[in-house]
Amino acid sequence: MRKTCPPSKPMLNPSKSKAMPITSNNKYREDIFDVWGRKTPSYEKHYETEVIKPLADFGIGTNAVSDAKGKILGAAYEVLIMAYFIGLYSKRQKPFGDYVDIKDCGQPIQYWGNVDSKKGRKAYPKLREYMFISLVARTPDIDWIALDKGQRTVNETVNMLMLTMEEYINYGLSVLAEKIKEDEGYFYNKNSFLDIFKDLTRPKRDEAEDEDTPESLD
Amino acid sequence: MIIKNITIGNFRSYYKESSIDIGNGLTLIIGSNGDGKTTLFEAVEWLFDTVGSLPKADNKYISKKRISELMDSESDYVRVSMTYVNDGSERLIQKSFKFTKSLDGEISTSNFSYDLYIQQGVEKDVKSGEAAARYFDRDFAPSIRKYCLFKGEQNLNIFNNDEAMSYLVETFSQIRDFDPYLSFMENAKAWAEKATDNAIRADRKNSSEAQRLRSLITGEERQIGELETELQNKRNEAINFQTLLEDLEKNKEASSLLVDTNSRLVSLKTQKEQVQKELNENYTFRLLDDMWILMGYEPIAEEYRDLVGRLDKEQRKQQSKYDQEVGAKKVIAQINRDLSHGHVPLAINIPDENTMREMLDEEFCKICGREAPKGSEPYLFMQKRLNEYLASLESEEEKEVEVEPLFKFAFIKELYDRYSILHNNMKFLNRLNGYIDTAIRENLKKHDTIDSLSSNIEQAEEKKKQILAQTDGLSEDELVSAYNNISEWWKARSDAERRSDFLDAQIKKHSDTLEDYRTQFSKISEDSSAAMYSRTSQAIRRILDSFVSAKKKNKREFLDQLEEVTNDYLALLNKGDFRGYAQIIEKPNSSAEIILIDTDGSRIYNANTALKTTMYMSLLFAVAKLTTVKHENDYPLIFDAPTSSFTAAKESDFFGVIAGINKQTIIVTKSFLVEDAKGNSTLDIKRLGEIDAKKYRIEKARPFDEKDLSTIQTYVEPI
Repeated sequence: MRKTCPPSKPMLNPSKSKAMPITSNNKYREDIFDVWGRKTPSYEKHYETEVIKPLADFGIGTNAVSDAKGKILGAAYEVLIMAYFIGLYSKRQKPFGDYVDIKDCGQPIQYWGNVDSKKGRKAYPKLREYMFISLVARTPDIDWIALDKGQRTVNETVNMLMLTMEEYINYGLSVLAEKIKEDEGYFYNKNSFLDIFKDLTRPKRDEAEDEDTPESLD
Repeated sequence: MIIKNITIGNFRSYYKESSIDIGNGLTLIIGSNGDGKTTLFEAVEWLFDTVGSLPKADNKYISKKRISELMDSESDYVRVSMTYVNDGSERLIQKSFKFTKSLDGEISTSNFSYDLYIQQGVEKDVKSGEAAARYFDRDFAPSIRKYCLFKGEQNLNIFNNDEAMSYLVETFSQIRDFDPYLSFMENAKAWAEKATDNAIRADRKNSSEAQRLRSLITGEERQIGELETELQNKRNEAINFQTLLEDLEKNKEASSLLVDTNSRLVSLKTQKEQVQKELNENYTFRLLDDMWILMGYEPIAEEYRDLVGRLDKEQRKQQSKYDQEVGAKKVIAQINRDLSHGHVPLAINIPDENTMREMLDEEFCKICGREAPKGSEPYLFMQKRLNEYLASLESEEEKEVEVEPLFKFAFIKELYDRYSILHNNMKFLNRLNGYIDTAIRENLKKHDTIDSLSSNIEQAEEKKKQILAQTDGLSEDELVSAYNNISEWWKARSDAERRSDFLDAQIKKHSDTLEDYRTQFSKISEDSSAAMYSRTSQAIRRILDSFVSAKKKNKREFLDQLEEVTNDYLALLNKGDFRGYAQIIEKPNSSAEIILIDTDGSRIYNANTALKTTMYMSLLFAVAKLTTVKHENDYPLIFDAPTSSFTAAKESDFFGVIAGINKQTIIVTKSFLVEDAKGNSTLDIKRLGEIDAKKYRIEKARPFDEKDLSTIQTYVEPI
C-alpha cells in the first residue's frame, strides 16, 4: 500500500529561482535539492506508537518545549533524522512491508531543523544538505547523464532519492523500536543516541588505527 | 491627600487649643521626653479611627489641667481636627466630645461627634457620624492608613505581621483584578466539564472509555492535590528548620571563623553552580543542533566525490565525442556541396585567406605560377575563391547555433557545485570526531570538579555545624549534644528540601499524565457531538491556567517593583554608608521578609538598628510611592520617634534626605535637642537650620509637678 510522493509543485516565482541557462528548456529549472526539499518522507504507521510518540513531542506542535513532557526529541522529524543516519551508517535499507499502513511525517524536508524557538536549541538547516548529498551518493541507480540529456524526469529522480531515504529511515526506526522494546527507558539516558552513533561509526576508525599501529617486534 | 493643619484641644496634655500648620514636605515636631510627642501622635490616631461603633468618648483623653479649672456644672470640649486638601477641595475632619464637671466633681461626657466639612465653592457641606467616617475613608482609605502611622522604631517593619504581604499585594498590586475572571473561569470550567461529560455519556459508543478516562483524570487530580499539600508542608518544614539554624547563626555571627566558613561556602557553591551551568550534556540535541550526527560522514563525502568525479568525466567525454560527431557531419556536408561541380575540390581554406589576398594584391597566382592582372580570368577566379571562403565562415557560425546540445540540463553541475560546498566543510568533518571527544572529556572533567566541590562544601558545612555547636561554658557532653541537635536540624532541613524537589518532580510527572488523559478524553469525543464541549472545556482550562500564572507573575512583578523602589530610597538614605541592597523574600505561607544583602551577595544578619530602620522606612516610602501611582493620590507618612538609634550626624543626613524627597512626612522626634549646662533641653539651632522643613517645638509649660497631671500643659511653638 505504498503512497506515492506528490508531484513537484510549479515554481511560484521563477525569477527568483536559480537559473541554469543552457537551453530555453531549463531556463527556470530549480535545483534538484529544492525539489527534494518539498517532499515529505513516509514511515510505517506502527512506528508512530512504537518509536515516534515515546521519543518526540508528537502532535503538540513544534514550538512546545520537549522538556515539559519529558520527551527526548522535539518534532517527529527529528526521530526520522536519527533513524535515517542509523540506516545510512549501517548501510542497511529496509523496504516498507507489504500491506503495511504508511503515514507521512507531516513536515516537508525543507522545514527540517529550521526551528530553534525551543529553549536551548539551535537551528540546523545545513544538515539537510548533508542528507541530500548522502542520498545522491547512496542511490547509484540514478542515471544522472540521462537526466541532464532530458531522457529522465526530475520527478523520477527525486522519487528514487526519496525511496532510498525512506528505506534508510525504515531500517533506523526498526532499530530504535527494538531498543525501546527491550528497555522502555533506554533513551532517557543522555548518552543513548550518542552511543548508537559511536558504535556505528567508530569501529571503522578503530580498525584503521589498528592498521596504522606498527606490529610489535617481540 | 495633603494635610494642611492639625488642631488639638483639651486632649490630654494639650490644654485649650494648639494648632500646627503642616508643610507639603517634611514637618518636624521636636520635643523632649514627656513633652507630648506621643500624645500628639495618639491624637491623630484617635482622629483617624473610623472603625467600631460611635460614639467613642473616653475620659482618659480629657486634659486634666482643663478639668481642674472647670467650675461646677461647667463644660468644655475635647477636640481634634485636621484640615486637608483632597481632589482639589479643602476638607476638615473633626472628632470631639463634650465633658462636664458635676456638682460633686465627677466628669461626664456627652455630644460625641465626628464631622467632615467639605468646602464646595462658598458653601460648606457637612457629613456627620458614620457618613463622615465613610467620606473620610474614601479620602484616606483605611488600607492606606495602615501604612501611614508608625509609632517608635520597632514597629516600622510592616512584614512583622505575617498577613502584611498578602494585604499589601492584594491592596496595591493589580492582583485583585484577576479575581472576578478567575472565579468566572472556575465556574465556566466546571460547567464545560459537566457539559462534556453529559454529552459523552449520551454517546453510547464511547461512554465506557469516557468513564474510564474520567476516573483516571479524577485519580490524577486527587494525587496532584495530595502531593501539593505534602509539598507545602515540606516546604514549611524546611523553612522552620532553616529559621532555627539562622537564629543560631545570628548569635554566632561575631565568630570570625563562622564568617570565614560562610564566605568559603558561598564561594564554593558559586563555583559549583558555575561549573554546573557550563555542563552541556544534551548529547542527543547536540547530535542535531551541532551536527555531531555527521561523525561518520567522511566516507560518504568520499563516495560522493568519486561519483561526481565520474559523472563529470563521463559527461565531458560524451560531450567531446558529440562535438567531434557534429564537426565531422559539417565537413561531410560541405564536401557534398562542393562535389556537385564535378571536381575533387581543395579544402575551402586552401590557400588560406592571407595568401589569397597577397596574390590578388600582386596580381600573380603563386599556385600555377602565372600573371593574373586585374580583370583577367585567373584574377577573377582567385577573387571568387576568397569570397567563397569568407562566406563559408559566416555560414558555419550560423549552422553551429542551430546544433541541438547533447545535455539540455545541468543537474550534474549542481551536484558538482554541491561538492565544492562539501569540500569547503571537509575540515569540519575531519575534526568533528576529535571535537566530540574533547567536549565529552571536558564534561567528564567538569563532573570531577563538581564532585570535588561538593565534597569541599560538605566539609565546610560540617565545620559550620561544629562552630554553631560551640557555646561558651558547655561541657563536652553538652557540646556533643548541641552538635547532634544542629546536625539533626541540618538533616531535617536537607531531607525536607530533597523531598520537596522529589514532590515537585512527581507533581510535574502527574500533571503530564493528567494532560495526556485529558487529551485522550477530548479525542474520544472527536467524531461525536461532544467534540465542541470538549474543545471548549479544554480551552477554558487553558485560559484558567494562564490566569493563574498571570496572577502569580503579577504578584512577583509587584514585589520586584517594590524592591526596586525600596532600594532607591535605601541608597538615598544611606549615601556612602552602605553599598548592599534590600531583598524582599516571599515565604511559602504567603508572608514575606525584607532582608539586607551585602555586596558579596551574602545575607547580613546583624545589621545595626539604624540601618534596619532606614531599610524599613525605605520600604514604607516605596509602598507610599507605588500607592500614589495606583491611586493617583498622595498620602502623608507620620512617624513617632523613628530615629532613636541614629547618631546625631546620621540623623541630620537622614532628615536632610527626607526633606528632599518631595513627600509629605511628619516626624515627631526628640532629635536636635541638646542639654545645656543646667540640664535643660535646648534646640541645636545650627543643625536644625540645615534642614529644609516646617519645624515646631513642643514643650511642657513650667513649672509643673510630674505627679500631678493637672499641672501639665503642652505648648506648641513654631521654630
